[in-house]
Amino acid sequence: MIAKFSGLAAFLKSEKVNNCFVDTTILFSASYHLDSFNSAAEAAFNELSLLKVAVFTNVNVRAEFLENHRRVLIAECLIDFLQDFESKIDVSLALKLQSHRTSYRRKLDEEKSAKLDVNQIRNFRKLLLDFNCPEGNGWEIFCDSYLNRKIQKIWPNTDRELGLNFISLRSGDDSPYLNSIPEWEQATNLVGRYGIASNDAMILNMFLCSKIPVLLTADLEMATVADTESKGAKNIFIPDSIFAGK
Amino acid sequence: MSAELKYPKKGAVARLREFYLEIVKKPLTPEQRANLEEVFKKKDQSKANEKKIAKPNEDAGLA
Repeated sequence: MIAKFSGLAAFLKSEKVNNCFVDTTILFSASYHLDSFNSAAEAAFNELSLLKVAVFTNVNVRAEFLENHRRVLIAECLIDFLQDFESKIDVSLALKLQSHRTSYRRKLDEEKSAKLDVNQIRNFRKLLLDFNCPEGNGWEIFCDSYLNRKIQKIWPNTDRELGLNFISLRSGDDSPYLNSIPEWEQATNLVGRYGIASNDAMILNMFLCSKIPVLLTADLEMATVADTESKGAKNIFIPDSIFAGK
Repeated sequence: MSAELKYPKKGAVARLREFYLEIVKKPLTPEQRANLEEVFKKKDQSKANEKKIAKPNEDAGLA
């Protein structure tokens, strides 16, 4: 069953559910105020806190979460770098950064996420790599000065505030949260049958193998595959705004 | 299931929002800024030295 976030609290109460699984879309939106599902995630986590529902996730979600924040923070840090050293950097780099700043400000005005894509980050990396000095190359200096101190703090704060629990697999362990051990073949099968990304398949496979009855996601593809694969045995909740367009 | 479960804190997302704005807006520390100023200074010096070395060769070429 796929249902709306607005029905989550009533469902958890009536079914006496005390745990749920969250994917990257929900964790990221809860931790990034410009994400379009930030308010929806806030409402959901308020309900989970009130009802004392334990929130589970896994290492794949953590890795994706970090990657999303890398892409957002590099966008922010490049602007800080430009602001601090605009008069000292080469003209070609300054022009690229100014163009990035214009696009970033436009996105902020439209209340959109200013997340860079991987190719844009590679291009800025190339430009900064050309800046060599005894202390290292420009990219490493930039990352160490601007990105490192910020990104280090994101996960520990999110983990502490949202009270996350992990389903992990260590060889020989029987996790109390799993019905069966997730196998690579099952994840590959999800990729093959639905064409979903491999990381999503690993996250979904973990959820499907778990005893956890509820998934919260803002990814309609993830929700649809989870619903189909669980054959109605699991309950998938998505933000109301995407439920309307389902 | 385990008795050591953690739970979301009340008002967690609102606090994460404040926290994010706080870390993103945090400027470089004076020490970090001084280190970067030094990097740019050395870079400028190195450029100036390169020019000095290149000059005699150019002259030789012209001659």
